[in-house]
Amino acid sequence: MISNKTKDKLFQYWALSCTVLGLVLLSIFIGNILLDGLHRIDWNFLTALPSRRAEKAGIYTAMLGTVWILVLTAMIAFPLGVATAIFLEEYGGQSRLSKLLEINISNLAGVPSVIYGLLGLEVFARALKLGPSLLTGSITLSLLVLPIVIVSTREAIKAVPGSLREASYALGATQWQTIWNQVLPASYGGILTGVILALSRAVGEAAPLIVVGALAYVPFAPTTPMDEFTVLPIQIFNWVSRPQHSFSINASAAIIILLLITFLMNGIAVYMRNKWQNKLKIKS
Amino acid sequence: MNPTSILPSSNELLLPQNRILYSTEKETDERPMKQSKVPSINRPSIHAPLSPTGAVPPRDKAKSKKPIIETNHVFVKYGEFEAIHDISLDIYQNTVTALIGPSGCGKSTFLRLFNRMNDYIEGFSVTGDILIEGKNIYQDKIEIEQLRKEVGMVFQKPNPFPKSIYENVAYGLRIQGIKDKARIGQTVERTLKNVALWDEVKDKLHQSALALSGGQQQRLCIARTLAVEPAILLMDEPTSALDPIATAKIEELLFELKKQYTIVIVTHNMQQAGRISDRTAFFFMGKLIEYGKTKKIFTHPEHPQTESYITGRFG
Repeated sequence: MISNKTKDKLFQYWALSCTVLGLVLLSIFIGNILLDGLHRIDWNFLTALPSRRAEKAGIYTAMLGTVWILVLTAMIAFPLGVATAIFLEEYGGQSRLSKLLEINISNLAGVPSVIYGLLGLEVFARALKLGPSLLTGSITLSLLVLPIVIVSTREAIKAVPGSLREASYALGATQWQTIWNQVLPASYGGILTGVILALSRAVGEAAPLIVVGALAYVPFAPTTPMDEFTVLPIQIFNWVSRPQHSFSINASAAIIILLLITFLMNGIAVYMRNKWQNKLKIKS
Repeated sequence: MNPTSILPSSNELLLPQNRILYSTEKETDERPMKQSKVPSINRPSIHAPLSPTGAVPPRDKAKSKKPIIETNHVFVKYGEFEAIHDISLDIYQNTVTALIGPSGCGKSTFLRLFNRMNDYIEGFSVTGDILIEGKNIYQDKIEIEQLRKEVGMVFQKPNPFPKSIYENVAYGLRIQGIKDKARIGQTVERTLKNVALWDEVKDKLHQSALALSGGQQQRLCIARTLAVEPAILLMDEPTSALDPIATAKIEELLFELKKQYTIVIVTHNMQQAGRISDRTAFFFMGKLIEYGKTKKIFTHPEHPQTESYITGRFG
């Protein structure tokens, strides 16, 4: 017979080992990548155009493409997502329309990203004749991350205490004034966190962008949203699939850059959240 | 301010009005009334706006007999549940009316009818007439925002906005589109003086209101409500989350405020109802059991249920 106390201990160790396993695997991966790629990162690697020769190749166009995609996706997904969340939380109520929207949004969250790529290819690249451009890519990615923005914004709005709304209404504020002056500022931290997490997801996507026609080899830096482009994940995918060892070193180096961008964005998200949450708490 | 001094002794308790009126008249005689420079916000003026000095216009005794809120055969339902059953009750100008009764008796629901705060509750429906200043607030084409400027509300738990003290008071004006800094500044100072908070916060107006104590926050919430110059103040157990000293300060404030405002207060505290109100309504199970002068309700209640509730035999 095992005593309850022993069971308790056993469960604790089991949970701990699961946690450690994840961390160990992640650190092995990161260590491996760093060993392979860190020495390859220099100024030249960041600023050089792609090349057939691994030693000369750089990630300049891919990095710029990634930045472009990030900015455009943020500009599209943020207003759309936040507005949708406000509608569903504040105006929609229990109407049939809002229920329909809700079901659709949860369905969208479950659609594989390649399917979004097909949608982007058919609707934006072909039907709307945007071509394999940055704009097509970022609209497609916006659709992909929209559910994340909507869900996190709704959670943030839900967390605003009802007493704050009541106080505003009781002073004669309209619904919009209450949303704009009280609800949104109070949920700002949560909304920003959601947006940045959504962008972190977008930054790592390759599949939908390959489908809409992003190229592996782009010998020029994109300058307008209508330009053709590539992004870091596609560049990495391309390098990894080559037989030469020197290209896999390049891939490792590019992965480090991509990880840095993702960590940086997550860091900003955490910082923003803490900053805005503190603002709501008691300050003395 | 000595908090113990404001708790009236037993004979004062019966005539709180006289005590206040006496001191008021004296005050108005000594200080010449300054007319507020602040133009009144668009509403039929029942009460002269508060002057910056806090001086009080003389009270018209005949006027105070006129009901400012009239309710006729009001029924409220939340879905199938009947929260209020056939209540007709008039509330008079410049009085403090206390709504008492055990939890769930419908007194808060009744209070929240007057600024249509129940509208947000799912399944809410109301029948019957509720007239404020002669206007049916549920039937006539009434702007709900305008109604709420007229009928202010203070809640059970202090709920200041997570903004500065100054911005909390200014909010009511800002949402009306008022941008005049001097006017907003004057209103902030005047209303904070009205609630006797000015001296405590005048050096930290731009600090977060959340740093104030519970009692200070509640007085700030009252000041915020006064800033939009309502005629009626609804208070939903405004002291239930406060300690006795903070409670005493709020009660003292209510004596001052009833000179300019009509106050309807929900309270669970019998002593509080006895101390501060002119009229008391006893609610039970969604019905109005008894309504009349506080003095009479507390000394010679007509209904045995009222008596047993007031004396603490149930509820």
